[in-house]
Amino acid sequence: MAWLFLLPSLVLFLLFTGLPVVAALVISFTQWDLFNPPQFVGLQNYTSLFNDRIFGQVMGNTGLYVLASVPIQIVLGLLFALGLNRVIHGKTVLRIAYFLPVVTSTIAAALVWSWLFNTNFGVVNALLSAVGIAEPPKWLSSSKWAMPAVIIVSVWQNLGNGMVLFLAGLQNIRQDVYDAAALDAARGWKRLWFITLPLLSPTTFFVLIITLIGSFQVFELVFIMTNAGPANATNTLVFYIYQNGFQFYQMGYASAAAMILFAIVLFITLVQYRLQNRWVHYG
Amino acid sequence: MNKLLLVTTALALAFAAPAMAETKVSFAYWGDPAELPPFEKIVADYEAANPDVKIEVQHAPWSGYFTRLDAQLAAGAGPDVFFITNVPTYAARGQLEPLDKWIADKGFPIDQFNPEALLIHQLDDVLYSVPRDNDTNVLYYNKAAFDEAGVAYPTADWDWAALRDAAIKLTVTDGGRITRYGLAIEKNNWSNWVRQNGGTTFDHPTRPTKFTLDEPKGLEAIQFIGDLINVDKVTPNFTELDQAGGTGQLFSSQQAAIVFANAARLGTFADADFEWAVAPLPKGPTGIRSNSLGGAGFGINPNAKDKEAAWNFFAYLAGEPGQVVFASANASAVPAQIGNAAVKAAFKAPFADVFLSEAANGKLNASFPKYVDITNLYLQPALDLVWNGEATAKDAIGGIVADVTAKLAE
Repeated sequence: MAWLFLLPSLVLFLLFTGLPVVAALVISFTQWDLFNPPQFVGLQNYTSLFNDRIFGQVMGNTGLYVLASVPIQIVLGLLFALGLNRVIHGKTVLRIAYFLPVVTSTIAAALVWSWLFNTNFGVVNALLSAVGIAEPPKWLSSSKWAMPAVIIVSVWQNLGNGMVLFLAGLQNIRQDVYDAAALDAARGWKRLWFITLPLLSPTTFFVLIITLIGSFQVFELVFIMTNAGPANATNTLVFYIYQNGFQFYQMGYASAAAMILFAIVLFITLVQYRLQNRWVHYG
Repeated sequence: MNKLLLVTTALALAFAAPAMAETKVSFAYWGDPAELPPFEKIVADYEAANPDVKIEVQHAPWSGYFTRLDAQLAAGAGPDVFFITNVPTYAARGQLEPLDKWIADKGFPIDQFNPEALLIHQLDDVLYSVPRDNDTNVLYYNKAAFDEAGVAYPTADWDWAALRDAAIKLTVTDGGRITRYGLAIEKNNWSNWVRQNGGTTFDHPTRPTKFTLDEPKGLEAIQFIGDLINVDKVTPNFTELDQAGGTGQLFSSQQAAIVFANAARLGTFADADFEWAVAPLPKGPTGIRSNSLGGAGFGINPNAKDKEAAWNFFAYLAGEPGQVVFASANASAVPAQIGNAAVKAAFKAPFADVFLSEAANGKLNASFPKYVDITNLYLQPALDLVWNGEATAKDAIGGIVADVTAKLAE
């Protein structure tokens, strides 16, 4: 009976998620341009990927993006949640304001941001020169600064997500725990460190996993803001998969790269689950 | 039972009837708003002359056109007749109908087209598309800006040095911000600069065996463009140019005093509220003149349902009737069927003499199946570094020679 109720979603999952994943695995062992029949080539796509200089650069870019964007998103999200969890004037307005970017269309936001970052007439550089910076960065037209610009926008965009989850987590912490802590004279930093953060850890764990997976999949921002340039400086894994699949029509190669992304995300998530006993406290 | 049969038959007839009365041919093209009227006129004229044919139009801007076309073609569908560039790539994938047999059977006047311009519409000596026009570029200049800066108008004698000198004088800066660039050029035209300097990108534009951009003449040309952007700061870098809406927008809003662009801009600039004119492209340092030869063309989908109908519309569009409309349009281009008297006579665009003389300097850009991959993977990233002033042409281009050579040999 239970299976019967599960059936609708199970069928859809198998059809639209399970099947494509298995198909991608099979395609990754072939050479296929979409237009002619695929040819089996064994592990050739994988070995070429490991010898592909651009793929190496792409992995580095993705790593940099994840390592910078995830911690900043989590720390800022937590700080904003802590700040807005208190009884302050206008907190509803502020919560809405910080959450708005999450519901804004990525494409529209990315377009506006690329204008803000324009070297010559952009607002960002106008502000930087106003505070006395003579040679402001060239942002999207600099292979050094394009990635930081993308990271800034991603933090702006996803901050609200973490913040809302942390807010919900904070409101789940029972007042009597804080009361008991107060009796033991735990306040301020001590209260945060020994009470709030441990009790918030299930939320933190969830936010961490979701943010990590989301970060590995960054695409729209790069697509609109830089189109992976300049000189591949912002080419990330998912963009490279798209490029190989839908610009160069190398479906096998693209699928192999997608499998590598899948393996990385799976590995990181499994490690997280293993490690959670050490720091995640459920109630 | 009889009733059911009757109803079913009636329904079937109701749906079948319109399909029998009309042949449908789908036609896809790209273009700015100013470039659309000739397409619309050709479709309307053709439908008027052939009442049993309905042309289903699919229009998209350049930026989105190929994403959609590629997806449609990959699914084995797509428009019956379409506007196309990078012909060898599509031909190699079997997505374009070979035209030689059709041309022979139907007597299409292919001999009225420049044979060299047809080379980029071929793969292995088979013709897959027929060019619409020549992507001839000219120098558009804002007369008011020249007067204001006290610079003499460009002449046919201009060379790179004269251009650079004028661009420097025409650039206006306000508080560290450039409010008017002396010169704006398009990202994909660098290969013409290479030719003007006496260099080449490959040893042959359609059958390359060797990458030659790393030779001194080529590097010098690339560095010259890079220096206009980063050293002289008189030309916007291409990221900025894109964000500002391209050369057309920059010139219309008087934020660029000179732009190099094709005849399609005649339409865009027709409504400008300042005086402008057109001059030939400057010659290279040693006096070499070069321009782009050939342009986009029209092809037929090998999966078209009714190929005969598709060919008929195609022959109208790519042949004399279509060429006359394109040649006489406001946003016209130097027509491809230049050996046809009616077409040549129809080309009465402003500054037609400049366009025709520049078209005579036309030389082919690289066009072969692997060129798209080579551009995306190696050339563009390397050139980005030069355009952004992060590497010299020598280092950037030198760094991709091995990769491009390997790709060519594949």
